[in-house]
Amino acid sequence: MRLTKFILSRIMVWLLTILVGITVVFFLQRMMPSDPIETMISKMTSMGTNLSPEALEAMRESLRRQYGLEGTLFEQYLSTITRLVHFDFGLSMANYPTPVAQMIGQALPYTVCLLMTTTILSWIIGNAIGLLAGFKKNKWYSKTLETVSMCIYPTPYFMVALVIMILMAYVKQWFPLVPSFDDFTFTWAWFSDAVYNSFMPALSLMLVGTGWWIISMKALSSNVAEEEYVNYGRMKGLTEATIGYRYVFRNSILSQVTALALHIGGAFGGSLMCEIIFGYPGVGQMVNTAINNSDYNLLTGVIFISIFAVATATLLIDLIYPLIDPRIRNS
Amino acid sequence: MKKILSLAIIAMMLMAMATSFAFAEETTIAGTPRSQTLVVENLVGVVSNPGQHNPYMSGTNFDGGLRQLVFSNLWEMNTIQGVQIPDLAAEMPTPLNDDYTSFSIKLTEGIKWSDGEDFDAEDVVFTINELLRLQDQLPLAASLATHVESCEYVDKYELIINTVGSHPRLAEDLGVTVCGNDILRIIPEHYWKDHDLTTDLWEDPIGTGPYTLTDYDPNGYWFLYTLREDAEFSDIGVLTGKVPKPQYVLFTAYGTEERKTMAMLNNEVDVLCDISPEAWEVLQAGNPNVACWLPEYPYGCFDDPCERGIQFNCDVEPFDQIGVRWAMALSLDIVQVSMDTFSGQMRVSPLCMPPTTFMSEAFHKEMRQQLIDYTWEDGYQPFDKDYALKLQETLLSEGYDIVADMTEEELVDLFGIGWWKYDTAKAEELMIEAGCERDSEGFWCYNGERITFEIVAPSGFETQSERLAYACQSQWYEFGFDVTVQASEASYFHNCASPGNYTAGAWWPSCGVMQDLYSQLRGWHSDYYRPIGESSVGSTSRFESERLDAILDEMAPLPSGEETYELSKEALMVMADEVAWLPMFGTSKLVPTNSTYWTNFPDSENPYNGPWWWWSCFKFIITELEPVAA
Repeated sequence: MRLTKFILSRIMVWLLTILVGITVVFFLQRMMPSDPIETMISKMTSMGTNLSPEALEAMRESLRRQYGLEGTLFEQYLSTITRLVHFDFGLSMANYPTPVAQMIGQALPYTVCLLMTTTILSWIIGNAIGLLAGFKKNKWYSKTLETVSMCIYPTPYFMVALVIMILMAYVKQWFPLVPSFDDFTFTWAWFSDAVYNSFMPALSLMLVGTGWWIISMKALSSNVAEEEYVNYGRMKGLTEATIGYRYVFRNSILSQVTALALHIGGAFGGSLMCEIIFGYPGVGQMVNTAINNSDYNLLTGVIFISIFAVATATLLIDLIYPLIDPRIRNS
Repeated sequence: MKKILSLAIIAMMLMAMATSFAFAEETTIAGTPRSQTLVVENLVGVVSNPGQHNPYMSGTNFDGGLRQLVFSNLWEMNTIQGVQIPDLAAEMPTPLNDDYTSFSIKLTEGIKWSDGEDFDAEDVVFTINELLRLQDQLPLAASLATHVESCEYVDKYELIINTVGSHPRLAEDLGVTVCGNDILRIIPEHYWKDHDLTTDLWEDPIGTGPYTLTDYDPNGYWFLYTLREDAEFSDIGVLTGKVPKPQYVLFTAYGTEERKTMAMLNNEVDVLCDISPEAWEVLQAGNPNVACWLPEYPYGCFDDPCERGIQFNCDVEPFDQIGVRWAMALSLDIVQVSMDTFSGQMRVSPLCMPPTTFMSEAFHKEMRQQLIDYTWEDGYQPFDKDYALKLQETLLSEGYDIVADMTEEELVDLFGIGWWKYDTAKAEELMIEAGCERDSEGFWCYNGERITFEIVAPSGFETQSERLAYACQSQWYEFGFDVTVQASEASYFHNCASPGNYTAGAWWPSCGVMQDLYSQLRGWHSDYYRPIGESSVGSTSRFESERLDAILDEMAPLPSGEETYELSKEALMVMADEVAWLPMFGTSKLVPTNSTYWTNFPDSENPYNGPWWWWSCFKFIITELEPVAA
């Protein structure tokens, strides 16, 4: 009974999070001083296109009908919520009549693959190094690793990304300045091409990401290593490897798992700066375009997926926490 | 086992990279031989729906080569001579009555669609009638329906267009003047009679231009066009008798300025659309094959058809007063504004039209004496004809010895005819006359309140306008205005002007390429005035002028000619006199080309066309390009 109540309460919070998130996004977009119709017309006329006032007026009215922006704000809100319940994101306004789901479906795999891979790899590498740096903090290699990570972590991401791009794509020309991915096929050629085109953004994200995991894990593990039960383990004559794994690592990793889950959930929102700098075809770049075009439907679709992913990741973590931590399980 | 697996994965990755390196060295990103491919930057960047080419869907993007290479217009623009020229139409429209409501259109014979079918009047009649039928469903068709009432087939190469009201400038509404024409693109009847224009994306478009779209990146980064085997039957082939030399044209999105600069330094791209002076310096220093419009300082091309400056909202106090708007002009040191914006690399213009080579001859130089003589009721003459000389002085003092030996006439040709005086004393006088006074801190006040406003400026795009805003802001602040710059992303920037949610904006509200300015200025008529809060259909400045209305009313029924030219000059003078907005400079475009693979790009010494790669006239340029290998 207690378990059912626990699960139901978590699911309610999950539902509420999504509903509040979408409501905020919907009204925030409408409150912003931007309008997809004016943006489209303004872009057209700013290129110098010669449109008579009458033609402009006719186009504006027609676009309003086409984009479904007629009716009261509340009617539009209800219509949006109804669509989202069925995972129907509508049609992109700036790319009319391309379905938003199709656009997200095109971009999301790139983002998820890139960010999931780099997040998990940097999590593993960073935590391993951080554990070493925290548990064996007086060793020379721990100090060296800590110093390196302290240097990389505060470096602005764009700086790291630009240096990588200049060195690898311009000076050495090892990688392309413009990434190009074919439609997915389960072939070696596609896979090798994808690795080749994703290498620079992945490297930049891993360099910066690893720095954070090293620092946080080092802080956690050095604290745990000072605990009395660790000293007790030593006095009992346990090996350093056993202490390191069973006492220090397992007690330090819990909050890192939570942070990893949130990072992975956030991956669905894309990495704006990385995708813009490297021209990577992911969701971050799409969000940027959607904002610039006031594309309500596309923006709502992307944010919905992001909220859904983060809320779901949090829900799952809440549900599996008891499996990882015996203290929670037993309480 | 784990070690073997790891080594195998690393080996596979290295092999993949090695394969890709070899691939990248010899071919373009689309896999075509680099030496046979002209690579052009796609001005709008990544296209999110690359498979959509239906020209009447509002979300279709044309900047990635469709406008330039595949589709054609009835009438094109000769940007050098400032006149429209026939394209799919064999000649300019012939009016069939005195009130200009019915026109005969004769078509160019011998043009074929890229699938081999003849282009003829059936296509044009079908296009127009289909659009009129679908005007309630297609926004672009709704716009066309405000011009065209009906269309009749006469014979294979002739048709009649009946207009909604008088249309003495029909070719301007249905053909190209600037960039392209969005509301009428002729489509093939033989394809569309069996397809729905409202739903069919048209993934494999059929055009009358010299190239066909043969491949594109599924993520919208590049579009590959291949020369038609029968390119001599394309519109360009028939009109010029020439066939382009590049077998392929690749439009590619490079994104940030750093990437596009590196791409040109590495000879990956032949044409860039617009870069900053700083990026140009890097390119110039790093690649000897890169060139701009001018061989020497100021390098850029000043022939872009839009004029830039600051527009005030004439419904916002105290900018509703002409005197205050004049004070804004006279409190600017335009030489310093030019230096702060683009290091002097711009051509100045006090008129609401860009000082392109053609427009300068037609208007700016023509009206220079009139501007010099221009006198207010109090005897004050606000025009300063010595701008070019002063700019030269400043440039020389800052080490630009490149302009040292130019005559005054050459300087005026290069930097413009002059602008308004920098006269803060007169500006002060005008502010006081307008009822303004300074507060204890020296800031200007109106009705007891400090005049505080923002200049809305683009952020991260349209660099010239962005920098111009900051340059003006600092001078106006010095003069006593509590002014800041609101650097805005595209969505906010593009939404300020229409509903009037701004006080001042760094914009380009008037463009022009021809002697008859009616089509470009008609939106400034007060009939199209809309109060703040309502979307504008004409001028977004909320400017109203009975004098300008009278001139526009006089121009409206007249066909283009000497009379409309004279009236155009009068209109410009009224707009200057009443400061409809504050024009400052023509657009300075640094449009670099790379002659590593292709040569004979247009430039100031060989100006067979303007460097407008994003315009539909690009296809007239491409026939002139020569491969270096040849």
